[in-house]
Amino acid sequence: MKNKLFNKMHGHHKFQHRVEQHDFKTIQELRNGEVAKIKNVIGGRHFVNKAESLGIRIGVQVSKISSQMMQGPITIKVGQTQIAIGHRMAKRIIIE
Amino acid sequence: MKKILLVGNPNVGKSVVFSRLTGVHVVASNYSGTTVEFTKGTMRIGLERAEVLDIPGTYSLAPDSKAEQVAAEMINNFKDEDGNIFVNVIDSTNLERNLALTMELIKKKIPLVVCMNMWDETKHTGINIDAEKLEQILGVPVVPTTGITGEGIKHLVSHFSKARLSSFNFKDKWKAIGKIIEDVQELKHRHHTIGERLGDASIHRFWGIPISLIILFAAFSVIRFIGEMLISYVLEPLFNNLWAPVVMKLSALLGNGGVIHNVIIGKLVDGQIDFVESLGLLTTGLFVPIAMVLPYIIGFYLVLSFLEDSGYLPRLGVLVDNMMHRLGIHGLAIVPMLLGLGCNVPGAMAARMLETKRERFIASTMMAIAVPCFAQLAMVFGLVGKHGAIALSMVFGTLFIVWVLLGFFLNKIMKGESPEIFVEIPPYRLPSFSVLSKKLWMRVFAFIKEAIPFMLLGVLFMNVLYALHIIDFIGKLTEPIITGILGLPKEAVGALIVGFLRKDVAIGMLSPLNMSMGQLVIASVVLTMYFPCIATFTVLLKELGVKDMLKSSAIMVVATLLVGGVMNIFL
Repeated sequence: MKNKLFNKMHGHHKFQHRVEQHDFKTIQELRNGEVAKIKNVIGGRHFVNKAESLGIRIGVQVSKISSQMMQGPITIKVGQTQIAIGHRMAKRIIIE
Repeated sequence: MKKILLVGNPNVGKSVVFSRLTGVHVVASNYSGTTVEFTKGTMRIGLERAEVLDIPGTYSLAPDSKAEQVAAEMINNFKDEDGNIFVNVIDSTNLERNLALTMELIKKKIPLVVCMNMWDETKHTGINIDAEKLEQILGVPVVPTTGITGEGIKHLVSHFSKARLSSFNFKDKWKAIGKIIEDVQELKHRHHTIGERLGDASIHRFWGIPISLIILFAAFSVIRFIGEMLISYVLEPLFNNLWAPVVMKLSALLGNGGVIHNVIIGKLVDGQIDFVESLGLLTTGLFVPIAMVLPYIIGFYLVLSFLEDSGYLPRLGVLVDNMMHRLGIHGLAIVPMLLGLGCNVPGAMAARMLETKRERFIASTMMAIAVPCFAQLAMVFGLVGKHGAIALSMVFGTLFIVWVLLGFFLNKIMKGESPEIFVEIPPYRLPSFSVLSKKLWMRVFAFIKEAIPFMLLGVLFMNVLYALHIIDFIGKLTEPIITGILGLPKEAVGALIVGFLRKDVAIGMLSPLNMSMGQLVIASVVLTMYFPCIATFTVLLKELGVKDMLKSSAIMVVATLLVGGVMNIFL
């Protein structure tokens, strides 16, 4: 029960907890128009592969375009591609 | 027969290239996942005939969604057949990302031709690509094309025979791609264009929603304008002045009455035909599809196609993502919903673009229950609209609330969690006139081809049921439900039966029943919700499987009785 509640509060991603404890900066914290370099993409193989196929991978420049209210998705630009990504997933993309 | 397979990332213009090659027109849009199942066509290369397959877009050969799975399976199935050619279609403005799939295809030892599509766009986006150099590096033909205008397509065809295995060797995919990009691509720095600024504003956290409301309001105004203009200046005069006298002559020939007269022409109202209420094949059977529904269908698909090709829909998906998440689906599910508003059949197919079975079930059920197709909407406008805007807003308000509650409950009840949105947002593009008009024609033609026979069948079926007193019989049987719970006259059961064939005819059948405004509102809502029409049912059955379709159907029936019953108490 306690575990279930924990999952509910923190999302079901097991890596999220770790991310929040350390003082990493993620693309979620970028301001509109700010540019940064991706340092790490954390998650299962499925997520990392999908991110990679959209051009989100270590060492690539990323800029933020917008974020939606109330923890809605954020929009980023990688290369020539604009990508919309849910805020919990965005928290797993670490920048330098 | 030799096969030519078009393979590439989503939204790189494969379907446009396919149309150019085969002359077969398929729907292409400016967002990922328009093609959810492969499309087949044939073309002539010299004296030979070859089969061309348009494969759903995929980012990699490790599939992510149902559409990508189709792609990966097809590539695997056909790669070992001799003589098959794989055309890797690439979005030239996005070379780096597109090359990832190219590398995977190379690793699979597949004979390739690389088609650098959207070549014209590289020019005004400041991208300079050396295609010849890329050809040297990869060791396979590289042909620049612009699918929309047809530029380079002939050149592409002439290179099919030169398809071969790549000589390119690499260990790390991304390192190899990085090196290639350095060698062949040059980016010029340039300032933001007005289009890009507008693009950013339309997903801005404050401006996004107001802009979307303006766009949607404009969209519906245009649909209404086109529909009303066509009806009052073209179709109604045509029917009243030209067709009515012909039918009246025929009516006199048939003796103004009798069984055959009633089937073909229907009942005369005050000695005259009434195109809505006569309910004959040549009167209502033609008038409903052509003069009441078709005009709105034209307006709707014109606007929808424009929005699709402009690239706005995925952005709308981003804006509503947060709200939709509470309903168990992510923002992109707005696309199947909007398509379903045209006709539930393509809507149900488009639900495939969602990744999980859970999302597909929720989206399909929500759509089948609470999203009326435009044919039905047009009829509701026509009949309920007579009672004013309040009656109309009661119908649509109720359906919207049902849509939201349904998603909310399904999301709570069903196991699991729906994934977050994670999708490419295409650039804004000015829709091409030729692509737009072809798409509009295809959709309108599909409506005419599907709707008119089914509507005539519906009218015929209904007449037979009436003549044999079957409707009276079922009406008596179902009276406790129809009258007891829903508060409708027992004859309304006829509309529910015919509604399984065509919902627009069914709404038309309510017209002669002299119902009150409240009853009309309830009947319109009930007819939308109770069950999908046969065409939608067939597709849903295929997409969801028997078990899930049974579940979905049970939800439909229960929800209809619940909502209809509650409305009956209040109205």
